Amino acid sequence: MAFVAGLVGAACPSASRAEDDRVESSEDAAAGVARDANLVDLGANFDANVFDQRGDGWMLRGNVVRRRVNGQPTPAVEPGESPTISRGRRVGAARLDRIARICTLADEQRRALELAIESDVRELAAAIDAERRRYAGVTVNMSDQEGQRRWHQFQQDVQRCRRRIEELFESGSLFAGVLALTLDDSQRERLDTEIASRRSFLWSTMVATVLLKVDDAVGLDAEQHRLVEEALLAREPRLRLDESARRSNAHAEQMLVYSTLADVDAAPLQAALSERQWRALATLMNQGRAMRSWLEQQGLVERPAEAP
Amino acid sequence: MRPTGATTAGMSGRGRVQWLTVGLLGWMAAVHGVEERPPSAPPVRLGQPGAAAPETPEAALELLRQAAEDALQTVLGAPAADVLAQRQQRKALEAQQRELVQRQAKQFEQLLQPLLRSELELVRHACGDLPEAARHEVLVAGRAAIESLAEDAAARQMNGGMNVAEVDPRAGLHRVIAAAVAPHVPADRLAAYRREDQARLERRAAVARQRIVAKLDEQLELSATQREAILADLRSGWQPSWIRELDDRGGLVVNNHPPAPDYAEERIVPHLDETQRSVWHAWCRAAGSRMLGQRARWHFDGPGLPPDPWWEHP
Repeated sequence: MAFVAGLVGAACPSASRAEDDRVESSEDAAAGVARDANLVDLGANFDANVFDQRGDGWMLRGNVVRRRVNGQPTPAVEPGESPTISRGRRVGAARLDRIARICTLADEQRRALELAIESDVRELAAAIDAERRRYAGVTVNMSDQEGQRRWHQFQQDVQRCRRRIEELFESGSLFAGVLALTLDDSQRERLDTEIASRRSFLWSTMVATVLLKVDDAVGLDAEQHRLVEEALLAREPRLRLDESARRSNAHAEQMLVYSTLADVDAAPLQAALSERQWRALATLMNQGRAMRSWLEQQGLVERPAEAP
Repeated sequence: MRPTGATTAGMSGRGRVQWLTVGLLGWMAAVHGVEERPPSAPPVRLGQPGAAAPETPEAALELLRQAAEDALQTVLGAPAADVLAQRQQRKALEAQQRELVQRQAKQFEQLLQPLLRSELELVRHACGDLPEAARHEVLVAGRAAIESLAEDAAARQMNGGMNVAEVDPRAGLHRVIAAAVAPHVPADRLAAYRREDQARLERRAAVARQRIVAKLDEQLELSATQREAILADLRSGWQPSWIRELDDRGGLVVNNHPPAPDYAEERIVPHLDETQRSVWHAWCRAAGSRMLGQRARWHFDGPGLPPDPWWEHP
């Protein structure tokens, strides 16, 4: 688990403290500080984990808990627009720009797609804001069992939100439906070709990069390399192309290639490799196979549409 | 040998010089045996204007010792004792440094073992059967090459000022193995091995080109036509040093950007539209590879092939 603890609050506590932060009697201060080191405000950590982390990456800012004056309620979430909306709009605008570059959209087409984006984004924001509200002001003590349980639940809920963000404009969204209805045949063909080309290019880059490592580890000759590469290129997964999915993740890409290799017809490869090479390659394939559920969390590949 | 019981009173100039010479030889022979000059005695300098001649052999010795120390200090630029201490300290540091380099070299050796095994696998594939003695010779040469490459890289890393990225373990190892194999295989087999190595180098260059374009695509949203055009241009003007793109494994982020492949700028910029050019220039300013320098090509993952008894126990 990649785990980043930001200690901004801890580094300059006086700077981050507001008027209503001060609280307990002085004799409790030392004990309070020690206790606070294990307290985590899940609400304050919600957005950073939903929007800025992926897969099994987690960011936990320590010591951001406000020690409240006894009897005072937890401060409410800041009023104003949900951060989900601005982030969702940004992803939608990037996608629309890309489509417009490829298809040259008419004004009506653009307007229809913008409306669909806005609708999908608001629906997403409602779902994520509901989750966020559940954690507003929720502070857990990470050193006790109940705190650990809540943290685990928090991780599951955040994962669900991340998945919704990844799938924001994918099949089943209003945007996908409007896009299918709005574009004419020629535009759709251009778009499909461009998406397929980008996806293939991305996959072939991943395969080639990972095969360099295999070259070093297994000592493939040119013919063996060609066989393995062709087998992998023939099993191209539906890679996500959105900005959220395209942050480089070398380890996940490596595991995706090994996992895909584990699914190819083994017989021709085994016949072409020496026994030692096959054993070494099989170890890599097993690594990929073992990482499948982890790979799903990374969001590199689109999930297949659920049957109606 | 120490002059005893004599004084310089009444000596001629020549006699005094002789006496001083005897004193100097005595001091040289037993410099550590000379009694300490009483702390109260004023320092005497040889050749000081108006300095009195030494009254006793001990004073003469002291005079000579002081003269020798002065001469040494003039030559060394610092008191002899300090220089000696500095030398000892430097020697201790050098010994410590050597030990660190050796330790680091051992680690590098382990890191390079899979590379040796995969190279030997390639030889076995390309060259077919090799006589037992030849196999042993090739294996020994390969191990020596790994040791030497590891030492070189460790020394560069630990001694500072020398770039470990200049050590290319793949190329170094192939050179040594090819030389060891050459006398034992027919020319066509050796040529096959060399072809395989060449193909491997070309694969690496092709992946570097593709990674450059993939990086551009991620940052600049290229069209399929642009990707093809840039790939073709990179291929036609390829510089071996651009293989450095393989060093970027995705972990390095500078000013929120991956390093920009600005070393190949002239092959990239002509294919970008106006908006992309402006993004490209901002990216280069924020995270240009030229400004970041080169890193080591030392990325070997995993245990690699198991040891091959064909080589190990012919």
